[in-house]
Amino acid sequence: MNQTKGGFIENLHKIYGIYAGGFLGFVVFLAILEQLGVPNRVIGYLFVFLTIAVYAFIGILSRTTQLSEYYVAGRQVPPIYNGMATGSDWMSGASFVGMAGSLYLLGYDGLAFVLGWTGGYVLVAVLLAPFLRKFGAYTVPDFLGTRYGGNAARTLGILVLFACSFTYVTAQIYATGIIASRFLGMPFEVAVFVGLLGILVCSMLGGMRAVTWTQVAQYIILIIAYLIPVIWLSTVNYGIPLPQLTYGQALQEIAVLEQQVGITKLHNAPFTDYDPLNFFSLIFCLMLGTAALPHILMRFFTTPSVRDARKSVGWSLFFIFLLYFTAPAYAAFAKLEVLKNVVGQQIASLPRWVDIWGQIGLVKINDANADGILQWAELTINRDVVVLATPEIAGLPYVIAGLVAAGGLAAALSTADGLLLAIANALSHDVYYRMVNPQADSKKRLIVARIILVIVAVFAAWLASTKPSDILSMVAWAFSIAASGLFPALVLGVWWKRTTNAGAVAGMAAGFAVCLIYLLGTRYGGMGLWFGIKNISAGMFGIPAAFLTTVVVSLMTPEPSKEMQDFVDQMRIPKGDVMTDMG
Amino acid sequence: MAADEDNWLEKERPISNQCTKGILAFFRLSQVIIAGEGKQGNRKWHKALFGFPNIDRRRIPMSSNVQYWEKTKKLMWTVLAIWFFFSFVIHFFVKALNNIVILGFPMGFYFAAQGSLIVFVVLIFWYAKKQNAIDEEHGVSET
Repeated sequence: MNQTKGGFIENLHKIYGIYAGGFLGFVVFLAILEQLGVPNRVIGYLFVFLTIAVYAFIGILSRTTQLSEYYVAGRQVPPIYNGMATGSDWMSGASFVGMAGSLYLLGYDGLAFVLGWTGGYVLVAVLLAPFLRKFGAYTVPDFLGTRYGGNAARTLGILVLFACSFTYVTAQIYATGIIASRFLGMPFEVAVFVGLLGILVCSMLGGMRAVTWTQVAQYIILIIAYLIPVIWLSTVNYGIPLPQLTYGQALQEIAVLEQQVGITKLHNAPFTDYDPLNFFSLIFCLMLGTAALPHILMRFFTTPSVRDARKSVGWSLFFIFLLYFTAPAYAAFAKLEVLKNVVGQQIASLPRWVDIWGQIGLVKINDANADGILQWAELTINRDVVVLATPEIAGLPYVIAGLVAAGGLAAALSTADGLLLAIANALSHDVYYRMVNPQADSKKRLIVARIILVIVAVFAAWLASTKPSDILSMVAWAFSIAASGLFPALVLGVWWKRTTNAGAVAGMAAGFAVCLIYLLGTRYGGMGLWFGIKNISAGMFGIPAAFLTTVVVSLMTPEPSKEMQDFVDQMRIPKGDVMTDMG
Repeated sequence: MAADEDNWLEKERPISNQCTKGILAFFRLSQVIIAGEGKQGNRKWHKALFGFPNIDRRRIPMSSNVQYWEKTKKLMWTVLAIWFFFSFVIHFFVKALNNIVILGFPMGFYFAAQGSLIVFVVLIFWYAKKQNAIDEEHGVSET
């Protein structure tokens, strides 16, 4: 592949076209095997191992000995493919498996996540991606260190990056463990390390280049796996294979049934779980957090040009949109099914899927009034069930359940790859090369990068294997932390020339500190909520604190040097080469 | 006769016209104060008040790069305004919008679940196209 690189990039459509076709053929082949009587467990094994084998194959083919290939995939990823890679980088195991379930449980209020996790890309496109691409950094802290002249800003950047990425990557490895253990029937602790292998084979040899091309492959699998069951459901119920269009009818039926059953928390009704203040705060924090998450921003360092970086953000959001605008359809179909065929039935004669998921405790039935009939309030459904149980709800063969598992695995693995690379690159490039040993040659830097990657991965996997419930519930904090700690320094660094080194450092420290104090104080310190804003939206205080501090301190300190101002001017125009020499 | 006509105009001028004139005068005044346009004499105390001299920016020939950045900023604010509207403002009216139902979708729900998302996707591609055009116009594009 090293020799035929040009050929590979030119033939991307063909290669991934064949790959997608091959994958569909594989699904059909397994469906035939199932009809011939091959047991479910074997089908589950084939799905998990064959997809991981494909990722490993791509990872090994993409191995590299060049720094720019390892850190930014040689800056030759076309916008549309970078979009797909960003899509799977972005959509985690939780998005894939849990998003629709959250919408099922929260109704309208859950849409804060759908909005928050998409709108942030507008900010990425306009405020950051093209300029960071022009600057030509390898990592996000690298930009901070150069723009704000020194190791203080760089170190703070690394700290914030670590704070928002590490809990996140632990949760992804945890998710791969859950999926692998459920479909392979192995103990969770072992499954976590199988997941770890799946992650390492993709990223260790080829860095960003290998992660990019596996993420594209993973996107194709996850989107196929997400869409097929719900398209099937839409076709069966309404005769049109466009769930995103037909679930309007499901919403109407739900509204009618809700009235009959006497449910007061209506699916379409806004502000039943969140008050308006919390609803909009959450959207705000998720959007600004999206625009500052290092593992997302670094994907836009890989496009061939500034122009392509802009377009690539559009493609990224398009590919994310395909899944996110389908999730509410999943939720509506699942709710309709429950209202139609589960609630009000004899508990002895419920549909089979209720029983299957009840056995592993994800569906709970509690006949409170002991009349033998299931009431709405007597049924508890775990949010992960909605996507995982849809194949059974729709009466689809087991092969589709295996497909969904492969999709969830692809989503979790691809996000873990991206996060791990963001953390390890910050440590190897920013800490080791920039701060510890600037004389290191490229061979040594690559070796260090790989060693750090393995250490971080093993540590995260070990942590995941202990099932740390606290850490898993902290994942949602990542957005507020990134938004408070990084967003103001990044945006002002490009858009306000007057931002000084001291201003940025003080702003990052203030934002990060305020956000952390609120998060930890309200969760562990018995601190009351300020203005009733929930813990998850801590950025509502961190973001203004960071902006205010940056501006005030910048105005109090002498303006940046002429060289730095020229540097910012240079960054603002696309023309010319990237501005940093990585040697 | 001509004088009478002038008088008549003066007397019978509709109230709306006078309002318009008043508003225009107000804008003109704020323009003079804020942008520092107008007579030379303003300059001194404009500088004392705002810390920079009042120079009509339109009269200074701007270098191409400055113009480029002005246009880029304008596009940025336009995009952010649209983003803000579809991220927040439209959802303030969810309850009212929910009374409109199209294809089974209450519109308030629809905009949060689909409508705003479509706008975001289109908005980014539109922005990319506009910004590329600005690049080319000012000769700072990459090719």
